[in-house]
Amino acid sequence: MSDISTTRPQAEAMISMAGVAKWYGAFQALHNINITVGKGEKIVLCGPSGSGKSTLIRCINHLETYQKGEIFVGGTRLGHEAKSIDAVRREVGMVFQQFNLFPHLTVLENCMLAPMRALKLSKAEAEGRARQLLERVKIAEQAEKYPAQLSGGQQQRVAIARALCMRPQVMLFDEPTSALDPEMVKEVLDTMIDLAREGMTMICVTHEMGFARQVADRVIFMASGAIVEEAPPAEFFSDPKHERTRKFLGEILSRH
Amino acid sequence: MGPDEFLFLLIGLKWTVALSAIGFVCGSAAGLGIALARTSGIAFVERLTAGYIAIFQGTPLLMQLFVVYYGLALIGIKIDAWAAVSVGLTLHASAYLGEIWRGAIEAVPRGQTEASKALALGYISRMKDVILPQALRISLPATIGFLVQLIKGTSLASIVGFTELTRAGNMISNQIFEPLTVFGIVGILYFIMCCPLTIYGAHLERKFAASTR
Repeated sequence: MSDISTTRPQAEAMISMAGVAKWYGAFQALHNINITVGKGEKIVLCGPSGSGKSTLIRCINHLETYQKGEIFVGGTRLGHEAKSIDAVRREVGMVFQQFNLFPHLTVLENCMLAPMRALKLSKAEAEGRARQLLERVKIAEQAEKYPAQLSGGQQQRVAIARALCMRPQVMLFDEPTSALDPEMVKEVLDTMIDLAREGMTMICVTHEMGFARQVADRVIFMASGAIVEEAPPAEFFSDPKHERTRKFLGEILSRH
Repeated sequence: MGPDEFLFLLIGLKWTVALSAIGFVCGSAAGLGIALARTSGIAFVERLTAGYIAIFQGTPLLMQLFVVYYGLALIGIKIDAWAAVSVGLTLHASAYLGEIWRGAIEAVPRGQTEASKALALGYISRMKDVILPQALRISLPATIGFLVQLIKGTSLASIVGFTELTRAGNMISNQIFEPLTVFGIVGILYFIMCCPLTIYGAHLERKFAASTR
C-alpha cells in the first residue's frame, strides 16, 4: 500500500513528506510521517479526533512547525525561513472548518485581497478572477454581501473560491463540513467533487466516507499521530488491515 | 462675569482641545507601534513594551508631566511648557492606547491570522487589511473612553503653568472672585466636550454587541 506512493517517480510528486515528526513540549503529535502525493491525486485523511490529521495538513503550509523531517511542495523545500514558507503558501490553498472568512470585507473583497497583495494582481484582474471563481462555486450573486449574511454552506463555498483565487496547485481541506448543518454539507461536498474532477491535487481531512469512496485515490488512516493504514478506498472500506482501522470504520459507518 | 472673561475661557478651551488632539493623534501613532510590538511574538520586544506600559499605567499623569517638564530641564534640555505637556500626554496616551489595542488585536479570532497566512499574506498586509480593521472595531468603545479621560487629563497641564481651560478658569476666578460661576462654566465646557463622546462610545458598544450576537 504505502509503497505505491513511494515508488512514484519524484518528478510527479506534488507533495512529499519524509520522516516528519512534531512535538508539543514532551507530547509527540506526529510520528515519522511519510506521504507522497502525486499531481492530481486526491487523498482523504481520516482518524479519530486527536490523531494528528489536522496537525499533519497544517504542517504542509507551515501553519504548524515541525521538528524533524522534510516537506517538499511542488519541488520547493519547505524550510522554516519566510522565503520558502511564502513560496509554498502561494501554491497551497486551505479551507478551514470554521471558514475563517474576513468578516469586515465583502465576499468579493475576501476573494480579491490575497491575489492583489500576495500575487500583486491589479484590482481589475483580481476582480475578474474572483467573479469567475465565485461563479464556479455557484455563488456569484452574493458577491457584494458580507460573510455574516450568508449561510454556513455558502460561506464555505466562498472560502473555497477565495483559496482558488490564488490558483494553487494543491488544496488542503481541514474538516470542511464539520461545522455545517447537515442540509448544507452536500453543497460543499459537491463543490469539492467538481474541483476533484477538474484535476486539482487535494488532501482532505474529513469523516465524509461517501466523499472518500467517490473521489479519493487513497484513504490514509491515522491514529495517535502516526499513519496506520493507507489504501485505495475500495480496499480501505472492504478490507481494512488493522484492528484500529476496523474499530474506527465501525464507529464512523454505524453513524450513517 | 463679562464677555471678555468668557472669551478668555474660550481661548483656554482652544488649548485644551489642541492638547487633547496632539496627545491623541501622537499617542495613537506611538500606541499603534506599542500594540504591534506587544503582539510581535518577539519575547524581548514584548517584555520591553510591557515594562513601558507598566510604568505609565502605574504612575500618575501629573508626575509624568512633572518628570518631562522639570526633569528634562535638569539634564539641560530646555523645552517650553507647551512642548513638555505635549510630550508628556503623548507618552501617557501611547501606553494606554497601546494596551487597549493589544487586547483588541488578541481578541481577533486566531482563525483570521491563520487564514491570512494560508493565503500567503505578509505581516504588513495581514495587519493592515485583516487584523487591525477588526481590532479597531473591537477597541472603539474603550478607545473613546480613553479619549474622554485624556481630555480631562489635560487639566493637569495647568499645574506646570500651561494656560489651558482649567488654568484660564483659575486666573479669571482670581480676578473676579466668583469661583462658583467661573468653575461652573469651566465644568460645563468640559462636559460639552466629553459627554457626547461618552454617549457615542456607549452607542458603538451596543451596536457592536448587537452585530456579534
